[in-house]
Amino acid sequence: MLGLALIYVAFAGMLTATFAYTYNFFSGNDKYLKVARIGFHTGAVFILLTAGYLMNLVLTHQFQYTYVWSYSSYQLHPPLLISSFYVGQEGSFMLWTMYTAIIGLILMVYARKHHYESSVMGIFSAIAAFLVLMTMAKNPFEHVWQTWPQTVHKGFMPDDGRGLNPLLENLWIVIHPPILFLGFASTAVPFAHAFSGLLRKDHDNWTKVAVPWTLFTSAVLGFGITLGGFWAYETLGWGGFWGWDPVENSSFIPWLFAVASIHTLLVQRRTGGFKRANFIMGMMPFLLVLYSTFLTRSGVLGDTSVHSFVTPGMWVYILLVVFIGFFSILGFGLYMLRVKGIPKQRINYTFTSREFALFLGASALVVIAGFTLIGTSAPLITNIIKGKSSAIDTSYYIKTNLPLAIFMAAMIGLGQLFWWKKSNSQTLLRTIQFPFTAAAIVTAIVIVAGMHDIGMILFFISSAFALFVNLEIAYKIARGNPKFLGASLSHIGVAILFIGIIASTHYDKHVTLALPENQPAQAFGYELTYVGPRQVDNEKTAYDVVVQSGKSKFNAPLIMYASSYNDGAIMRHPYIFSLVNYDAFTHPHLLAFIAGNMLTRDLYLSPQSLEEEGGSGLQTSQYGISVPLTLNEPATTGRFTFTFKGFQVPGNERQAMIDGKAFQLGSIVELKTADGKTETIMPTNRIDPTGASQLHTVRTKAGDQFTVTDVHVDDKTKQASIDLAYMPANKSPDIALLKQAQQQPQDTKQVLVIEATIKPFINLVWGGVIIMVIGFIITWRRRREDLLRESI
Amino acid sequence: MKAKYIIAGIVIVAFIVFGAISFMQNNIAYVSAKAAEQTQRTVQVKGSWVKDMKTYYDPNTNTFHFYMMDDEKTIMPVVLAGAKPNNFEIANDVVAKGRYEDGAFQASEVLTKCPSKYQSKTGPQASTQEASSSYN
Repeated sequence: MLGLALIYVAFAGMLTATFAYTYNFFSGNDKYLKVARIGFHTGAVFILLTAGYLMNLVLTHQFQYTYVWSYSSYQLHPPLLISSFYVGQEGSFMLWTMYTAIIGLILMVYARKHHYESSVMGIFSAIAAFLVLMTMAKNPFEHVWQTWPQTVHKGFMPDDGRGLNPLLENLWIVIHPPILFLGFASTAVPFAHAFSGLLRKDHDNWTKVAVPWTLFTSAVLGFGITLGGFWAYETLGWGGFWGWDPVENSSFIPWLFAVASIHTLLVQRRTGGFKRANFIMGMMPFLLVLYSTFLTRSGVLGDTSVHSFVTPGMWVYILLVVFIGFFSILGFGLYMLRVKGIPKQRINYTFTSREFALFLGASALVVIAGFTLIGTSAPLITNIIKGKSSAIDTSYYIKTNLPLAIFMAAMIGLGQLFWWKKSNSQTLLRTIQFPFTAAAIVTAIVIVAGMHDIGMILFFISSAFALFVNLEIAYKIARGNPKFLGASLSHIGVAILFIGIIASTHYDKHVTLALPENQPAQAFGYELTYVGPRQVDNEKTAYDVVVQSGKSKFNAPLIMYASSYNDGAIMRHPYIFSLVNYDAFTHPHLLAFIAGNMLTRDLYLSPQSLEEEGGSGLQTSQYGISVPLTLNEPATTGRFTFTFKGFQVPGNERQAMIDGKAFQLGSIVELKTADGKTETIMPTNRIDPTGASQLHTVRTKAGDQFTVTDVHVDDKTKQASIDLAYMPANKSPDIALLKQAQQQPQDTKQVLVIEATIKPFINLVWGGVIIMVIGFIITWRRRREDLLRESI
Repeated sequence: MKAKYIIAGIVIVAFIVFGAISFMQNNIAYVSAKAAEQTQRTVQVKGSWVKDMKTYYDPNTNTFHFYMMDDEKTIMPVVLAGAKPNNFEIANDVVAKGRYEDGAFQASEVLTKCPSKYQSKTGPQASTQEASSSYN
């Protein structure tokens, strides 16, 4: 019970800090400031102790705790074992709370320096207190006998833990959630600043103090989201880096708002405009993180997504609703109270001013966030309107967001060419020439190369335009003062990302290949050969496919297995020939091959299924050797050459057939022996559309028996075919054939079915994001320096 | 100044209309197998896999064929573009998303709903047998 005791102390600390800071703010009594600081420090230290205690339980395999039992086992070693700390819902709340505590300790010093301590820390402590409350509701310190009082007696120590979901067993689970949750936790800081600005009736200065944190959030969250996409692409076998899944969307939406607010805060800094809007923009990312948490953690999405959302229990549901409600009402309520007193600064927009471009760009981001939010909430919305929840097709997101993305890319270019207040039209015409011409030329080239979709052409030309504008500006800045490089670098990153998205998602090529063992097949200029299965561990099997290109030959282990952790579900892991494949870095030859071949595209091999192919092509059943026959195509098996001549329905049965009732169907088959004798037989079947069909065996004079075991008419080609089973008469020489056919499982051959995909220029996606994040970091550092200089 | 507000208003309304239309068009309703057969739209049908009827994967077309029975006990053939979905054998329910065409439900996606996918209902067992066998 130590864990829970630690949580209680942490909660008491955070609650004390909340009230003491708030009291100090309204009364100015400095005695309470001290109490508040002690409260927050106590809270933070005990949160860290709780987290440390949980980590210790995981590392020392204390399986008597339900959480530890559920997500770890003796087989797990660090660093994977460490990820057991946060893979479950309980632990992920703990991770979020822990980050909030650490950020709070830094923020306290920061806020004190900028004279915002009591107001910023008051609301921040309240957020921390709520998070601690969540870890109480989702307590990771429950014993197994408390969770399963029926089956487990008190003091029971399981032999081993259940282990980690094998889907998660890779490096990315160690890297992705810690970064993503740092991003989530950091959104509380701009929220606290906006709130404190409203409290203090400070309409401008708060933005300067908050801006470095918004940049930090944008960088970290953006990077975290991309890592998630990278993980989905690289190991989870989603076939792409983005699936518009609720889990992905729910971190994407707050990020869009954070990025939009960077732009609107910049307008306020330069022109004094957007004072009111910025309070909202500052608060939104955090509130959206809460809403997203509610969507993905409360079980409301239920049946509508590929992800299984665990219903976490009534308490968590209610707490989450209260959490969102409390901070939304607090934030928006205070805003309503103060909005009249916020002076409106009129911005003299001209259509060719930078502030106008920034406004339009930020609006596009907000609208994209809005469309995505509505789409993600579709199950909730349809439930309210129709009383029945249903999801939305992912094409919705593309349809709504593509025009906005085209517009945004154009703004990213134009905005940088416009001046503040008003652009000089002559200068504008001069500066626009190079990037516009360059973009037009590049676009003409890709159109010739095969880009014909009008939406994609527009998206490409506006992205190329944005790229060239910002490249030119970045070049000029780099020669002058590289400290100011951040914005244009981020924009270059976004433009590159857009081009990567166009190329890799709209111009990818798929092919499904059936690879019989040791029989090479060609795809996209590579020779692929399936060489056989190989046991990787107790559970996993790798199906090795050798990929050959010229003289280079490499093995791609495609992993497919039934996972006992997931109750026997089939797991499939793709293999990618790509610069981002970390296998490559342990094999210098592979790396050289990839660097030489894969700079412009990835070869993505995904296992689909393992089939067996009969060695002789003969199948047997109780009716004998089965011969598949297509209309009027002779086939030879044993002594006979069979030709299926067509169906016959007796006259009195035709009406029954038309009415969809049971009817007699005769299949006319011509038998021809090697000595030229022909005989026609007509086995009949009773076809019953609602139930089992009856088969009637036909016996020839020689004693051979024939049965039609299946009739089939292809829906598209209308091609008729039957399966004719043939049981040779006792003394027939074909008896040997039957025996051979019955024994043939020994020479069956494995056929591995794979999907091979070429993803052109997908490296631009990763590269673009990295450049964008570097841009954020550069600007973050500059804004921090500015702030320090101003406050001296 | 007024003109600006009017333009802004028109743009906002246009966006809302555009968003609402896209939302309606792409909203995938849950329907019965019978209703799915009668509509041209992409829909979702919830039901269960009929284990006794022909179920196979065709590697030539990369399609997985099976029969499902919806809640009204209607049986319909399903052709999934792709291999057998994860969890297929153990799923309580399957949800097929697609369109009825050419005498079968052409599914682009089949989701499987499993009992307690990530959470154990029974809890840990005293598995002495397993423990001893692992030392062999």
